[in-house]
Amino acid sequence: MLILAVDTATTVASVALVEGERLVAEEVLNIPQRTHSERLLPVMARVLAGAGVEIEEVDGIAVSAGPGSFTGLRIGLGTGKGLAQALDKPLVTVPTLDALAYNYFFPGALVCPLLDAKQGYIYTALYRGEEAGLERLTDYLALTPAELTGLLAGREEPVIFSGDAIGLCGEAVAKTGARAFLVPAASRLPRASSVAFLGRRALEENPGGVPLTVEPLYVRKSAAEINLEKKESDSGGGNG
Amino acid sequence: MAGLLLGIETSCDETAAAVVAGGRRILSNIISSQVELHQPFGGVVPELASRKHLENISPIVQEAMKAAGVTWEELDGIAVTRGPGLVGALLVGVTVAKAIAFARRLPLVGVNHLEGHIYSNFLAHPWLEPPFLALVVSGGHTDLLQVLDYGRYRLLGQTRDDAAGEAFDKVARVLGLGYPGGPRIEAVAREGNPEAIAFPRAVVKDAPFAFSFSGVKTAVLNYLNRCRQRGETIAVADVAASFQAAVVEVLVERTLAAAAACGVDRVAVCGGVAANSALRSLFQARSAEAGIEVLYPPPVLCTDNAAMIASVGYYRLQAGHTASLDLNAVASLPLASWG
Ligand SMILES: [Zn+2]
Repeated sequence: MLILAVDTATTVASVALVEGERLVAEEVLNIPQRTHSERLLPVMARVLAGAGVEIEEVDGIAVSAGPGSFTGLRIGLGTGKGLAQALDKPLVTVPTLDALAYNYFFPGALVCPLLDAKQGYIYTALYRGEEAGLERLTDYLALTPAELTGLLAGREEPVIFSGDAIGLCGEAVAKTGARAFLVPAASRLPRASSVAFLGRRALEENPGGVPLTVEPLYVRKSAAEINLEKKESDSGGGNG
Repeated sequence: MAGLLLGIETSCDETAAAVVAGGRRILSNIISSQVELHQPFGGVVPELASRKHLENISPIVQEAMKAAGVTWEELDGIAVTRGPGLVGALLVGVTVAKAIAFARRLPLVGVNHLEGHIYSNFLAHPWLEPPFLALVVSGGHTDLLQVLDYGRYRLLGQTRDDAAGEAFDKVARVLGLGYPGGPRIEAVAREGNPEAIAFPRAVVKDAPFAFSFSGVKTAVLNYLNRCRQRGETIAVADVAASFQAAVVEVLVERTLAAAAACGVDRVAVCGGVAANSALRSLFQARSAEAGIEVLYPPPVLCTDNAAMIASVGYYRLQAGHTASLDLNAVASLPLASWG
C-alpha cells in the first residue's frame, strides 16, 4: 500500500511517500519566509518524480491534522481533500503531536512533543511507551509553559522532549532534571513520513478513510468566538 | 473543445462551485452561504469563514460536478478565485483547486473576483459582447470601468473609502436592522419616504467618476444622535429609505455620466448591490431618457458565485493564461488587463 502524506502544521512543509514499512521518498522544507500555499505542491511533485511514482498509483492520502498554525493546517487538509476527491482515494488525518512523538518509542519513557502555538501558548500532549506502542495519556492541549511544568510535576519516568517549542519551555525541561532527554534539533521538525506510517495504520483500521468534511484539530477556538462567549457569559452570567 | 470548466470561489462568506460550458452556459451553480454563521458577530469573521469553507468545499464541488453530469475526464480546466478577498478564505479555494488540477493533470486558471462579477453578465446575457461599461457594486467594491474587450479594462473610478454595500451594512447596524445590511435596509425602506431626510450626495474633487460613501454613513449617524438628544422617536423606515436613495442616486447618475463621457450606450451592473430593487428602478427611469441600455444578472449571479469565475477562466484559458502549482491567494489583487 502506497501512502502519500503531507505535514504543513508548522513552518515546515513536508511530503513523504511510504510503501509498507519502507520510506520511499521524503522532503522537508523549513523556509518560514515562503508560504505553504506556494511550496506544498511543488514539493509533492518533486517527491513523486524522485520516486518515479505517478499520483494515480497512490492508495491513500494522509494529512497532519493539527494542532498547529490554522492556515497551515487548512492548506495541508485542503490539499489532501482535493487529491482524495479527484483521485477517488481514501483520506486519513493524523494528529500532528502523535506524528511528532512517533519516532521516540521507548517502553517506560514519556514523550512530550511541544509545538509553538504563538501568543505565549504551546500545543502538547503526553505519551508513554508501552509494549504495544505509544499510549497517549492526555488530551491535545494548548497550555502556557508554566502549565506544562504543572503537567509534568510528580512524574518519575524519563521524559523525551521534541518539537519547535522546546526553547519556550526551559523551566519545565529544567525541572525534569536528569530525566529530561532532548531530541536533536534536526529531528524535532515534523516529518511527513511519521504521518504516513500512522496514516497507513489508520487506513488498515478504516479502509474507507474519513469523510471529506473532516476538520483540522484546531484545539483552540477563533478569537471572535472566545470574545463572543465572554460577552455572553458576562451579560448572562448573573441570571444563571 | 467544449470548454468545460469547474469554477471554485471562496473569497468571502459563500462557498461555491460551478461547471460552465464555453464561458457562457451554466451546467451547475452551487452556492453555500455562511450568513447564519456570521450573524451573531454582525459581520464576516475571517477565521470562521476559512474554517467553514474547508468543511464545506468538497461536498460543494461534488454537488457541482454531479448536478452538471460531468466527469473529471470531461473537464478542460479548473478556475479559482485568487483575490481580492479574505486571504484565509481565498486560500481554501486556491488550495483545493490546485490539488484537483494536479491530481487530474488539468490546466489551472487564477481569476480576479472583480472580473468574475463583470463576467456574470456574459452568463446572464449570452449575446453580450464587449465593449460596454461595468459598474461593480458590492460589500467589497464600488468600481466603474470600461470593458474594452475580453481581458481588457480601463478603470474610470472607484470608491475612496467605504464600498456601497459596506455602507449599507454599517447603517443597518446602527439602525438595529442586523446583518446582512443590504437586504434588510431594502425591505424596511419600502415602508419609508426616500425624501424625508436630505442625506448628502458626495462628489470626489477632480475625479468625476469616483465614489465616497463614508460621508453619507456619518450623516446618518449624526442624524440619529441628534434625534436621540432631542428625545425624538426615530422613523427607521424613513432613515433607511432616505439613505438608500442617496446611495442609489449617486451610483446611477455617476454611471450614466461615465457612459455618456465614454460614448458607450450599454452598461452592465453587477455585484451584490446590483440585486437592490431601488437601484434597478432608478436605473430604469434615468437610462431610458439617456438612451442607454442597462443590464443586470439575475440575483443568483449577483451574489458571489463560482459560475462567473469559470466564465472568466474559459476566456483566460483560451488566451493561454494558466497558473502554475505555486499559485497563491492575494488579499488585495488589483484588476489587471491580460487580453
Ligand atoms: Zn463579490
